Amino acid sequence: MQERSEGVVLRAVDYSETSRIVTFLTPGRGQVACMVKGARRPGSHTGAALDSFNRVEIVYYWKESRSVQTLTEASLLDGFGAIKADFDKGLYGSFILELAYKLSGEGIAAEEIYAALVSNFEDLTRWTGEPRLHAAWQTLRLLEAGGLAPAVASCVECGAYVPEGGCKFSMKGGVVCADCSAPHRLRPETRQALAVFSDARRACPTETAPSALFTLLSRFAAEQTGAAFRSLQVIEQITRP
Amino acid sequence: MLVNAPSMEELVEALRCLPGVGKRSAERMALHLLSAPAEEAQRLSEAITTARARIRTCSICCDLTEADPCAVCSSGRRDRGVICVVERPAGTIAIERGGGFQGLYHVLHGALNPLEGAGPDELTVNRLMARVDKGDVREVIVATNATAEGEATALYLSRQLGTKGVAVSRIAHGVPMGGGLEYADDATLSHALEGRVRL
Repeated sequence: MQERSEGVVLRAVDYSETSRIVTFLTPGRGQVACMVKGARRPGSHTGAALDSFNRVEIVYYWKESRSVQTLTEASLLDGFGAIKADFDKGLYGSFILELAYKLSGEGIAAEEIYAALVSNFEDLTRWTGEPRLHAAWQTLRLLEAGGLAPAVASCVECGAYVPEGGCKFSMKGGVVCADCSAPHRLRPETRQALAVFSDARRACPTETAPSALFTLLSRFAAEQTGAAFRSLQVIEQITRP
Repeated sequence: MLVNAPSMEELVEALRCLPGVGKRSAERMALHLLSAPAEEAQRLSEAITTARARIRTCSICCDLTEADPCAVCSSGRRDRGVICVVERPAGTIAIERGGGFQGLYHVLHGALNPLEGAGPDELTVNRLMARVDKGDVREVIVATNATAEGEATALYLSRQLGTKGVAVSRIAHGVPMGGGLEYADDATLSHALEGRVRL
């Protein structure tokens, strides 16, 4: 059955001399892996549209029994050129793509994750501040869309209200009250930034936040998805002094 | 009967390590090698062994070479002030085939790809920086692929080299020679328009 959908290119792997297997995040079917025959040939019409980050309209033959579908058409809707043209935006954007990959599954609708990813990237193209800060906000939005956002007001252990200021934090769910035990501790400024960023649903807040916020949220995302993020290793490599 | 013959299965498995070779193609190749004169298979086997033993990476540009330094790095006719950076050894072959470049090369052996865990430590970036630090280089031309990963690599190199006082340029992307606009895809056309030059 031929299907048409919108999708974001999550990853691409070369296959044979001229083909490529491209994994898209689609709203209706979550991850869809497609064989793109001839994508690596010079002058291929589809090949250029299938770069990472690209939002594309795709047409493919869907067969339930196959894990890799066959792509017949792809046209570019948005290349997010401003993200690719800025090294830091692209670097942190890769983490967001990987997070979307880990949060979604094959054949499972991912409408909220898809909408969050696209609006995040649209916001990132206009963003003029620190990309690491924007990545922290995007991480929260994607975790929220995937139902894994950290609790910011109530203790994840006992449900009690956790007053403003520094507090304990559990990678298993979020803030923890003074009476319960948790291995991590949030400084007051990180806790406050977490609350502000959690509330800002439409666009990344412009106020500054400690760089520890991204570290906290990326570790939280890794714990929640049970996955090691390759892009985080590269971010650490590039940002080390 | 060749089916289930262990040596045949091993040969097919060995041939499958080649890019673009699946089980059926490997079986066809194996059958060809077995039915061809013995000398042909022997020659192929010896050529692979010899090439593997002799070919290594150039200690200067990291390209594949039989003599170290490679022919380009040891040539007195090349412009030693210009280095063209490519992702793979195939890049140097393609540019040499074009014949328009007279400088030196540097092969990164990949591109920055955070999604696959490939950072600067996995590439030969440090060796490129060491070459530039020696002081003979005026310009570095970044000829990485026109993909998100190639662009990220170019931006990273530009940032790293920016502090070293050398000019950093990027090869142009756009409509191929002899190509009609109506056959170009949207992404290539928009790149071509962005990189337009004044006449």
